[in-house]
Amino acid sequence: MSNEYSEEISQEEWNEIEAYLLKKMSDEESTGFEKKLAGNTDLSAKTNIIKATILGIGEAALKEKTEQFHQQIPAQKIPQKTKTNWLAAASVLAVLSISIWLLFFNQSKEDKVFAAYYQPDPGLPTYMTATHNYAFEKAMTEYKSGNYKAAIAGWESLLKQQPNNDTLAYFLGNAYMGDEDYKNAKHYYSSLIRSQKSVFTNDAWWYLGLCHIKLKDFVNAQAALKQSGKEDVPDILNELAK
Amino acid sequence: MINKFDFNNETTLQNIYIKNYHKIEKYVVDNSGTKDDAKDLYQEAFIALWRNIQLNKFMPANEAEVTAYLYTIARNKWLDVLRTARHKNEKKSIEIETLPEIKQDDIKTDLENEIKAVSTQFKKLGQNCKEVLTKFYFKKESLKAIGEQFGWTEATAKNNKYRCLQHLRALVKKKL
Repeated sequence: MSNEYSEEISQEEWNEIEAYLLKKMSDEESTGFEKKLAGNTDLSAKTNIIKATILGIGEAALKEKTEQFHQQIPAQKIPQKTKTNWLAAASVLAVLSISIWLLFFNQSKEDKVFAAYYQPDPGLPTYMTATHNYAFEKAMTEYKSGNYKAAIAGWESLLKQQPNNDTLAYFLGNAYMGDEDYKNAKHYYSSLIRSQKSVFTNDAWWYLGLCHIKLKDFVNAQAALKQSGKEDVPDILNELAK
Repeated sequence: MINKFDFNNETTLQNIYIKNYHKIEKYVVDNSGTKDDAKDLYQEAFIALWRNIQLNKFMPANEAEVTAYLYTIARNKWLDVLRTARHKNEKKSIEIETLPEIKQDDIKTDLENEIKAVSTQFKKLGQNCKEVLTKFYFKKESLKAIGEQFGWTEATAKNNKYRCLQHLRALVKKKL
């Protein structure tokens, strides 16, 4: 890439290209530059070089910053003591409590616990290019868009060709769970857990436990949740025991 | 949509960094990793997020999308780590053949490779050059303000910035 342009980039040229990339040009100047850029491979190569340089500098600066950001993480966990108007706080708390009570009044225990702990798996990135597994990614896109039935159709078709694929079993469980079909979700999570030790096993145990909660099978729910080894297990077990 | 300029704002970046760290740490620790692994992985994922936003490869509509994207990058990178021979030996219970084939780094373009080269060579610059370039390109400070901090005129700051860039380009060309 660095050898594609004809010669060194002069200061004047650098400043012009940089002004375009950093959006420091007027609309008119910008349009003029784009016209010049069209079909000019030398200018295009130089523009790419300057773009990469600007972003590379930004990336190096950000790397240093992330170390500083990281130092701030524990500080976030220290509770802040602030002056509080206790009367106002009590009023807000009362209103909140009533709202929460009204919201959950009609919910069963399993629904409440499930709602408090269920967070759908966000899925894997999709590139939709010929170099990747297009059918798998198409279904993943459907899954991430909340079109669970379409995702299930895509992955179940792939599962026929790869019946032992743990990624397919795991995401089929997730898709059925998203579709609120907990029996089928349970089936896929169980098959993944039974068949092999996979990187998805802990997550599968966790979601299997949540499926059992939805199906009011608290004994199996407790057993599955314990197997997941997740941080939230003591809290959720405590909730179930109430 | 999250503005690209905002995403260069240090406070915004710090907030996003802090807010999302524990979720990634939990994922890594839950899947055979340590807290140190989680930190390295998270920082790498955070930089990939920033780069992909700058390159318009990812255009988040809101902060929830940023969180989901960050989690996905980190998770894919961790799956890659689990695939390595070192980890395979240490964690025999994990059957790496069953891990998904999708790899975040598969689709690195020439531009991304060049960005990486610049970022690596940047460390070799002198302290003044590093500061001038960081202040101008990352912190978005004006040449006038940079000049004042170094006791230079704006014109000198402009010339010095160009010299630093030439030095950086020479280092990158030497390596490529």
